[in-house]
Amino acid sequence: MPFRHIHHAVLAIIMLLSTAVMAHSPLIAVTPVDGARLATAPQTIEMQFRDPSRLIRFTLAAEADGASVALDDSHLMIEAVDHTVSLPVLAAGDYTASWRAMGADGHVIRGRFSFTIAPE
Amino acid sequence: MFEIWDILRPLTKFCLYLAMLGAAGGLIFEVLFRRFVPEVTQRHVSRLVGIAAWAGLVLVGARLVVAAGSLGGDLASMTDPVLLGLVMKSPLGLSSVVAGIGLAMITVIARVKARGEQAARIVAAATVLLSLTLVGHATTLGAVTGVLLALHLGGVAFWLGALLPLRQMCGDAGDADSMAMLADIADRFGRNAQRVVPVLIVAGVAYAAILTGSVAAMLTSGYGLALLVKIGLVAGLLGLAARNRFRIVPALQAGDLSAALRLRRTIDWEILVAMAVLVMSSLLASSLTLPMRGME
Repeated sequence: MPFRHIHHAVLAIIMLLSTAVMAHSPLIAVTPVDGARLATAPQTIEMQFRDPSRLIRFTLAAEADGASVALDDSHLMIEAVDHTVSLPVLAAGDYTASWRAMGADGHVIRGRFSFTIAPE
Repeated sequence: MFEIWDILRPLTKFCLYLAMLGAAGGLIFEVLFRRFVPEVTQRHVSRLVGIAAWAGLVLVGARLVVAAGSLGGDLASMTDPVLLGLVMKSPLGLSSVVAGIGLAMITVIARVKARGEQAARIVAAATVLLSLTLVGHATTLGAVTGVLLALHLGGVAFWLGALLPLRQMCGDAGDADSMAMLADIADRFGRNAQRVVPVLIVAGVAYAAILTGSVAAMLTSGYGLALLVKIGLVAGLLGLAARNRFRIVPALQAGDLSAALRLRRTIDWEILVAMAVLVMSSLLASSLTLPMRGME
């Protein structure tokens, strides 16, 4: 009976799940770009999606202490291609932004990017 | 970063595809072949269709809850009314409502015997299949992709819906009469499949070609590679179907008793490969990670 091979199939599924397959309405540009090293603190973060998408969650955390930066939520729940997140005055250091959004086709997309503020 | 939603989303989708295609496929089998199969098989199919429809209704709800959880990224989001509202306003919400209507119709059809039930079966199966075209890639690439996907899914449902009834008939084929009936229905299914399967394949390939845009994209993107795996599995499925059509069915018609057992074994393999195809379809339709820097 072929059903005895089901455990092989389950293993294959888990392997497939760990592989990047595809996403919907991907982010095509972000400013500051991932890995950027900035001389001055940015006042905003700009995100551009391929299709209209709705930002659901956006957090910015300082690497030094892991604390989240307090942000207003005016940029959330708006369906658009371009999104702007206003930032408070950021101190020097490494930051990681994490976001989740809903694409035009209803799928969930997510990602993260980092930048460093290092005044010369 | 790997999240629980990366498993829950495709898993829910896989189970839902199975239930919806099983329910719609069972109805298609009833419409086309019910009058040619013994009463025990008729009851078997009706029971399977009913189970698939009820499971589908539960899974439609589960998909909405999982989608809301995936949006928020935590378990509490699964019951967040704001996120659930967003999901309901998205194409997934519309798809779920239409699927719910179709599946509810099927549960009613399974209980009520009345005139016009053949028409009701066709409408219910079409409604369930239509719901699958209202969400995902088909919604963002125009009406052509929606029509292609509907044709593809109709063919898949026709195929899947016949596997378990045929398997059940193989198990019961112990005398000349039941063998003759099995040979007849397997032959009828095969002749119908020769018309349906080319449509299924052409529609699926055209849909995939529009989606990936180019051969290069198919070979270099994760989506394209997953699609190639699916195409390979479908090729295997076609090989099994061809074995049934051109070797086992003629043996059944010649009265070879061992042919029923061989057909049952081949159908077991078809079911296994079909499950693998559905797994690939669930992965293809689910957003996991992005092959772009700055995204996960």
